[in-house]
Amino acid sequence: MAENQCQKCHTLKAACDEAFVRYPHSCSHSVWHVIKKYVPGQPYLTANSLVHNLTTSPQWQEVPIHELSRLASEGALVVGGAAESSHGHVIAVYPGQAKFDGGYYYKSREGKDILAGPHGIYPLAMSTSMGNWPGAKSKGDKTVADPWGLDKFKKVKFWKYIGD
Amino acid sequence: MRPSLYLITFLMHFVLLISSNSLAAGYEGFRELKEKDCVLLGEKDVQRLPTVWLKYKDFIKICQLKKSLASKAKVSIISIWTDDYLNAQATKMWEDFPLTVIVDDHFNKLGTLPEHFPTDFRTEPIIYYGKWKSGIPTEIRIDVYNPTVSGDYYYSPFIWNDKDKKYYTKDKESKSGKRPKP
Repeated sequence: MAENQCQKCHTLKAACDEAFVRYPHSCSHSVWHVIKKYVPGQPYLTANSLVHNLTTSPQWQEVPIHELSRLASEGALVVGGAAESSHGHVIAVYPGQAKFDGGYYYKSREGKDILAGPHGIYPLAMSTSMGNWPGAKSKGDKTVADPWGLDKFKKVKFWKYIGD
Repeated sequence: MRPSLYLITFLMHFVLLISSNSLAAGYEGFRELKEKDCVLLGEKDVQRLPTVWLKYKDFIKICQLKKSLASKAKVSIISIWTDDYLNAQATKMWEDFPLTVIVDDHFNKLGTLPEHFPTDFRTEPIIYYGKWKSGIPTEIRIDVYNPTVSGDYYYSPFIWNDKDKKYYTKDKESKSGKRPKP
């Protein structure tokens, strides 16, 4: 995104870009890095704990998916995620115009290269991951839907930071 | 016959036994359904499906669930090969495909699977069937290969109800991780 298109969101974009480079293998650390730009005292939390914290904290407000692109482009911090019985996953919404998900290759069960086709148009994401799933590695080039499959994505929620 | 020929014959039988798939993924007595077990559904049979399937007629396959290669199947699975269909489309856009169904040999619907075999959106359901009774696999297990961040998962088994002549599962929600071994 050109700087002149991101006058309100350059702090968010810069934080996401830094987080992506600094913590390429840990979603919780990269999202923590972004949150700290808005909430300096934010303690580190694992993905599952962060999702629990976002759900219960009055400083965060759940927002619907259709508002995400606008909010991020206005510079608002929006974090999304879903807890899992093992490790959950968290992302930050990246500023910019929504786009189709998919468009990258991944390995099938038999090791065949499969092109991830699109399902729809979604807001952009900053996402990092310790795993190999290419949809979970995004510096604004993939969407908030890409880290998950279809059914799991239905359980993903998004929260906007509203402060005290 | 020379001893080396005995050895070769033994090894060939051993390989055939392994590939016969009598023990799938550690589920004793279960077979894993493979894509090679499936054939394109004939035009006449496609017409017996609900109209929503017709759009996908060139990509619908039927997979017989057999106890052994020689036995006759009483239960089959009918599914759309979503990957083949999407590869034939310019946009490759995922669609709201009708779910994979289980049918009897008269095309009566016996149940619906929660995902599209062999390829769902980013995931691949692995179908195991076993616990045979009168030529019917009375249990179908669906484990799902999921390369995305949430990882593999599985569903409660689909159990044959002999009274209703249908398959039921007690819980439609998927469960994260690998299916616990009994």
